[in-house]
Amino acid sequence: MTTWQDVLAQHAHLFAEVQPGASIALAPGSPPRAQVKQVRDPVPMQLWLRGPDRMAVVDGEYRGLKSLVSDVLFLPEAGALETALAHEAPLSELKRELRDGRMLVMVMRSRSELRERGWSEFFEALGLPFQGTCR
Amino acid sequence: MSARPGEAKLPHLFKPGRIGRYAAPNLVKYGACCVSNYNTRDGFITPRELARTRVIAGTGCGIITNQGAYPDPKGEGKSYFRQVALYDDKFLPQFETIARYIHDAGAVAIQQILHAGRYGGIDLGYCVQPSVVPQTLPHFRPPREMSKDDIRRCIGEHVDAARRAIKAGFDGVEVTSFMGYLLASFNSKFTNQRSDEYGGTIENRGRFMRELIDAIKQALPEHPFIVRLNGAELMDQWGGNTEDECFELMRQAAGCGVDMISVTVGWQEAPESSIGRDVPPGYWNRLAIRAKQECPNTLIAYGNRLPDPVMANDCLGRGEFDYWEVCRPMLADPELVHKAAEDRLDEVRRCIGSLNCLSRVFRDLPYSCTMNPALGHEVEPEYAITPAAVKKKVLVIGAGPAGMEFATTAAKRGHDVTVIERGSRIGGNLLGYATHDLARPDDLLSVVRHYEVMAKKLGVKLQFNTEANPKFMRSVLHQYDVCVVAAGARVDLGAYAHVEGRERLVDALDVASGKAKAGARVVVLGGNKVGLVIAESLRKAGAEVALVESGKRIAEDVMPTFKWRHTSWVEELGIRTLTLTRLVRITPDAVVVADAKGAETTIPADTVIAAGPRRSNQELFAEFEWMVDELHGCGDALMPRGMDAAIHEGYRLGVRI
Repeated sequence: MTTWQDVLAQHAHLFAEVQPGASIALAPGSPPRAQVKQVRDPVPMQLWLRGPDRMAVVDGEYRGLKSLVSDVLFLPEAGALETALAHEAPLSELKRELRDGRMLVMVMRSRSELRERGWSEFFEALGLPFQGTCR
Repeated sequence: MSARPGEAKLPHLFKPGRIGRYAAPNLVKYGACCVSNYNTRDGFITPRELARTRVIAGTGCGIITNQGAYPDPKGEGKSYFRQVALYDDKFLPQFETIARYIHDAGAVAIQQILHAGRYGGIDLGYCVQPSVVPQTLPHFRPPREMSKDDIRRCIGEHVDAARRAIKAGFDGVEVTSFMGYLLASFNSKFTNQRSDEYGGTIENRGRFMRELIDAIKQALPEHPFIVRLNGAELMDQWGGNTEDECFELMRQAAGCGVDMISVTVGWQEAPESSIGRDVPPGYWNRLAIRAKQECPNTLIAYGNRLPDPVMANDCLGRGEFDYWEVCRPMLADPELVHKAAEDRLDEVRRCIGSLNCLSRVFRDLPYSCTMNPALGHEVEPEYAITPAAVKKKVLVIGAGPAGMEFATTAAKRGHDVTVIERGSRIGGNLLGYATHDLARPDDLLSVVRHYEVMAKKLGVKLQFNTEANPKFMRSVLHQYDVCVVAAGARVDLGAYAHVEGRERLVDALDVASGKAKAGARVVVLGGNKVGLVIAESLRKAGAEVALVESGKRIAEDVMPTFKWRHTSWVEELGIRTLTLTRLVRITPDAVVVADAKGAETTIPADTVIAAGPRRSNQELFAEFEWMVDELHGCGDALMPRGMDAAIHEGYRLGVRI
């Protein structure tokens, strides 16, 4: 069965520039926006953490925005991560979920910091720079 | 002055209006749609901006809104790289000039104040918001929560900026509270998570707005005050305000005595398109209609994705809103209102919704317009159309956008222009592109229609079905002073010379023009805009389509504001996409490709379409060099790019020749 670790490995080129220690947090919940709180009771989250040589999937606890040290927070609705993983192209499905609102994204650092930390390629693949109503 | 002929046809648009104690000559409001980025980094207005605003003042609008200035000395409200400031009297002289331009043109002058809040602090390491709620796009600064002291100071800064605008000679002030800017972020239940009197209920969330309106109205009771508010935020998935809540906030604003509400759509972070080429004109009108119903005693201005003066006139006639607010269409054609008044609407250069303007602003560049090459260059005499000192006989090869833009510009200057075209009508490759466009072909075809109308009116001679070659040139030797090669670009089939099975390749431009038909299973080579448009169109028509791109990504040559649209279509339509993939060989019923590691894949294909690489049709330069006095080129014939470069180069050559 495919795991998120497999998916990250398959798309390693998207994370090639990501700096060690940089991470994306994924905190599922329904509705996703309910997770947008400074402080909240801990819930399980998944971290996509850049190690010395690759992206690693690590379990963690989400305690609200205030204590989050990740660069980006993904808020998938309950079951959305599993749905994406079951898809033949999980990252494409994640992108669709972002567009449909089944997954929200919150950016925790400035654009230049994100660029310096090597996320440009991954964001580009998700189409994030091109969202926005002025289109 | 007697009414101009078009005014009778559009009686509602050209009806005199009123805002507060000021009379407006018509019901058109020039909206401050986006900042120009023409100014200095520290907020001073430049000669370039003044020249531009002089053109804006002359658009013929009854009310003219000058672009948004940030009101605070720290720059927390500053959202654009070269945005103008209004936090000190040192900025006033240029604002005085702009107010004078507007008054000289007979319009009501409004100054917009734009505190970007969540999208602000462009020169700082932070931005300010009602609560710390991170943004959902990677464009902005990390947020800081505003204290009550910050709120009081911010209101004071808005009042001071408003006073300054009036001191400079403006008649009224507008505060923008849409797009997710500061006021909008207080109004929103997504970004406002405060627990004090400024957060929680909609009454509390609207308190900042009401206090701001009260403060400005008290300071400037004799002057109109306008607020721009969302009719829809399109932030539902984030838990933003519902439309009902948006209209409740409008009622709050109206209850505070604002003179006008400008109804807009969407936040910058909204995942939905609101004004792009894929949104049909009139799509959002219902929001203005409801605003008028909910706030019957307040003037309503509206114009989101409503670019057509005839449509606007009809809406005004039905009482759907009170002023047509328009900006982007007048970036494309500053003469729009005059042409409407003079019954010359067929001459209008329509805004095609390419959003080149915003694409550039969001990359900290000055805005420009695909359709108006002179935009932003008003201060430069070199860009003005002036009578030619020497009238020349000019031959143009190619009736695409570059050739026709050159031809019409040169004809306006008095040159005698003949265009020869291999095809049977104006448009060049744009025609094929427009035919297959999934967004709104009519927008692109409007470019063709514009050139057809203008060529006729300007007496540009057109010879269709005429091939330019040395034999033709010899036949017209010494008849022309100038030859301009605007023959466009083609798919470089020579690039496939080494490929086994290359004889099965079909040129994408032949498919686009209808010369070649595609089968049920298609492989398109090249994920550029030509390849994408063909792939999307064929897939929509039912073909099974695979897109093969040797680069990292598809749509690399597409304008940033439309790139997402293509990538979404590709996914929605289920077009198989292989990037970092090269063509290996073509078999009788398939295409064999290899990925970056060399692993081969066979894709069944009845038709194999080559959409790239593109190559300029430059051969004519060498062939004609000794046949004519002046030989020039423009557009894709110099380097394959696209319509924007074609039109701009055609114009620049036309004003210079």
